[in-house]
Amino acid sequence: MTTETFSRDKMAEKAISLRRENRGFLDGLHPAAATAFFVCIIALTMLLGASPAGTAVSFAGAVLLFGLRKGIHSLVNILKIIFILSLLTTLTNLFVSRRGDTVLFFVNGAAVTAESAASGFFTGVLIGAVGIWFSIFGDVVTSDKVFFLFGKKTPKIALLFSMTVGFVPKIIKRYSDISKARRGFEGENTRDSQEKILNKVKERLAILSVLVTLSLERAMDTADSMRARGYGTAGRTCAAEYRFSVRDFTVMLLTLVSFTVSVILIAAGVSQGGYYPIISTPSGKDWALFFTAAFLAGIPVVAEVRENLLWHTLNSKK
Amino acid sequence: MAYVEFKKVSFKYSVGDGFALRDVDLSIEKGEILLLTGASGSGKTTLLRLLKPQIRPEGALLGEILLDGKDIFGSDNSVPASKIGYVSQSPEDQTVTDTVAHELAFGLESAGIAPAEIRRRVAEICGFFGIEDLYGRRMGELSGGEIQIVELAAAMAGDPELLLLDEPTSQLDPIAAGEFFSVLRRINTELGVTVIISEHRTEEVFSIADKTAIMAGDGTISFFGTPRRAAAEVLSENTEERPAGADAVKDAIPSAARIFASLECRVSDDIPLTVREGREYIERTFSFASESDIEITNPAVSVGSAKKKTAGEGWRDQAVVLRDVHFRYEREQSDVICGLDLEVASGQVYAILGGNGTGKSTLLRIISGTEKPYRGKKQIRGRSAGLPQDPRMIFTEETVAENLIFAAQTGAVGAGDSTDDDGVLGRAVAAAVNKFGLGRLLKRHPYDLSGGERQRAALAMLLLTGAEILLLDEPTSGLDSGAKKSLGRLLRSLSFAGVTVIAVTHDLEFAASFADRCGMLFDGKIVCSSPCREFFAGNKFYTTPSARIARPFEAGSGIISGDEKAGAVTVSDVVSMCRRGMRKKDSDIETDDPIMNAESENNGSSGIISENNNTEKIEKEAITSDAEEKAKEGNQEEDKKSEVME
Repeated sequence: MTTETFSRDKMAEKAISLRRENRGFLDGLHPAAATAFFVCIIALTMLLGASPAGTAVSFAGAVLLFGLRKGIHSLVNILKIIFILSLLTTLTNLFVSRRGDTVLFFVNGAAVTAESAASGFFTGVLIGAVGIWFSIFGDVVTSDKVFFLFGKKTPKIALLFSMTVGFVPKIIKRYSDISKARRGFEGENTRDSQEKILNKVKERLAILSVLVTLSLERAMDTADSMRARGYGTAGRTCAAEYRFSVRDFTVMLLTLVSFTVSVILIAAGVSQGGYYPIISTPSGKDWALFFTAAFLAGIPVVAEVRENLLWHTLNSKK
Repeated sequence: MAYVEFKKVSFKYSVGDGFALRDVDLSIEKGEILLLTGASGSGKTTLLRLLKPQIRPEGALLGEILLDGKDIFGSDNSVPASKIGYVSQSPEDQTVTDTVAHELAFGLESAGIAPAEIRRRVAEICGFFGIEDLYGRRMGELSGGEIQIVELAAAMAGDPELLLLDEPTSQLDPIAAGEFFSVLRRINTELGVTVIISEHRTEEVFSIADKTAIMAGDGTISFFGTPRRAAAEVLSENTEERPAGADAVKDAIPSAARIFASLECRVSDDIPLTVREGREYIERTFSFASESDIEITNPAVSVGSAKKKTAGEGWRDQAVVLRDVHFRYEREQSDVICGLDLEVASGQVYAILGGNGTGKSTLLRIISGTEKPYRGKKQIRGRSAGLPQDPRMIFTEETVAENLIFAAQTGAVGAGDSTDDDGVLGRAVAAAVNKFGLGRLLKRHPYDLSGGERQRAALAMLLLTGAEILLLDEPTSGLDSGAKKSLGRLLRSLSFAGVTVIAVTHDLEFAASFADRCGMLFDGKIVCSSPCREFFAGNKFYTTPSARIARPFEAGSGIISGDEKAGAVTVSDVVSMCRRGMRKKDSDIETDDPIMNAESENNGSSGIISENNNTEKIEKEAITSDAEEKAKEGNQEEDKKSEVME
């Protein structure tokens, strides 16, 4: 027999109240401005993928924005996933890459280096950063905005775009549903606290296999539902209307300028730092590149915080 | 001229052999509602989808389908998508957009209607359906019931002439389903839209449909006519008169009609279909003695207390105890479960009822340990295993057999018995295959099974994990009434063997027939937890149609006496209630119903008892599923009960 007692304090430690509702600054923007921002930040993250500093900047921006929008609880959850992912990539990289000068130890005569560990870990962080950006992208640029942008002329691209963008949040939710269902199926008593890692990996793989099969099945139903509503038959129209305001113009301008400057700096061969032969950060003036990158990643974060503060002062004046 | 017409239509899928539809002849006039019912897997969905060229299934079609006199697949007749609206059974899978606003506008946008016109129509449709407050929401935030109403509204926004609804309420709670049907009725009467609806839950639809078609298991239509005639034929005493496939739908016929059929031993076209008609019929036919006369011997009450006594002996130990449990998903949100107390004795079948989105599934997850409450105490005796709402989620292997073996291994590991003794596992699996009748299905992929088969395979897996507590989330959704009944008997037999079952369900009739106790979840608490009969007798709205029919007569029939609140809640309860009433006043019935009177003259009161036996037998014959044998223990228990009753 198992008896458990739960106390409120445990929960209180975990959660620090932040905004929960997800209608933030970006949601109010014109779809073109919002899309431009996400495309730029994701592209820049990829371009700076080989640089530890670049990855860190983008990751920090993504995490802050996600936390502001979804609350600390969801953020902790997603950070856990990213951490596990990073451990996996670290492990893989350790055995694949033998570059790097700082040798930690030898396995069967092959060097295991600190640099390859760091590079592996940051690969996980990079994937995590892109994942978070995509998940916010899907949350902000809803299907109606996608169809507003692309639907009239290229419904097929609009569909593809909308499905890609909506993919990450949907898959995350479905993954957690399946994982809960399976844990419920096995019952908590089967779960040992010192479960073997191999079993954990097996379990994850099982969930992934169900996820894929189930997603394919459901995608068929969704496709039927779209066809049933005459998708792709006649020339599409779009009911939604968005006005391009001064604010949209400002955001778009800042986005494009900071992105273009970053790209020019990269093209000009500014040193980005790297992992091999030893981990290095950019030096001196080359930090400029990371200022522009941080500027880009920080646009929505700053705007979000500013709006929160504005609401705060408006409310307190009453 | 008929609006929709099937002329000798047969259909064969390009994959798999055998015809999904055979020689289907149907004709529906403009503005009618056609109810399509029959066993699951009998071809209802195929028939519906053949009417919509955009989602027509792949395969060979013989015969002709005419819409408004024209061949629906003819080259001269291109039917625009918006002319025929389609709503399917799974709320989540049929949403194609992220926001309610876009979902409503999607079909209109596809049809290329001008934006201003779309906005006007969407505004109009929101007003008509009363969903203005949903307009600004995201689809992901809505409950299943809300999604189905939005999907119906989205289909209606296209101004269709024909609506095709494929089990639209299978995932809705009774209140939400009722709401859906009342909106449907408004659409039909106020806008004159023709409706074809396929349903397993036909209690409400029977009374609003103009025509009913029953599909037999082999893809033929075994009955086509008015709902009253359908009820009469399906419930007919004479087995030869019954249309094929009747067994699968028998228990879905409205309660009033079933009460009528069991009491009259004949069926006619004046068979009652609604609660009101049922009451009128009982009022007309029976009279009940005053309370004082009855109180001396009251079978119903004695049954109730006898049941309780036997219950008390074996059920002293509690399998699950929750005390003052609080749970919320996120700190900033409000409590989903708030100060909940729950006690479930081991060996009980406990049904948790409540509206969509009240936290029933969350409660199951708390019991299973998947979600941790932030305050409260939880005590579980024995291992638990949960069946998710979508059983597909627990099938990880490619075939049913592999899944069963996997479950058995999980059980062995959990019991600390990690030495892989194949002999023991193999025997356990073989026993489960027998018990659940899975022999035919072992090689199949679990995704290819029908709803009922999938449910049985999943239950077998749960038991193979060695669980003593089963947590079932909506086990009856998507099952036809025959499959539901065999599931119910299976649960009873498991409970007899000492397994505790906690089931969340929308199906009041199912809970009333098979649960020992029921609890209603409301405002994060179990607001009333009482023996099944008491529960439904005490509720006035959230209760079975039978209980609603019986309500006005209960005081007179002496079913409620003193503290013992045990009313008539199932069809057989009402039948036995009426039988008692009839015996008191034979002379009154003479004037009302000559047939009944003749019968009671011939047989006297002993005749009534034997007749009771008959109906019991017939009910048992009606169970087609192979699970029947396995549920024999359960049957025996029921037999005992009915003996007491007689």
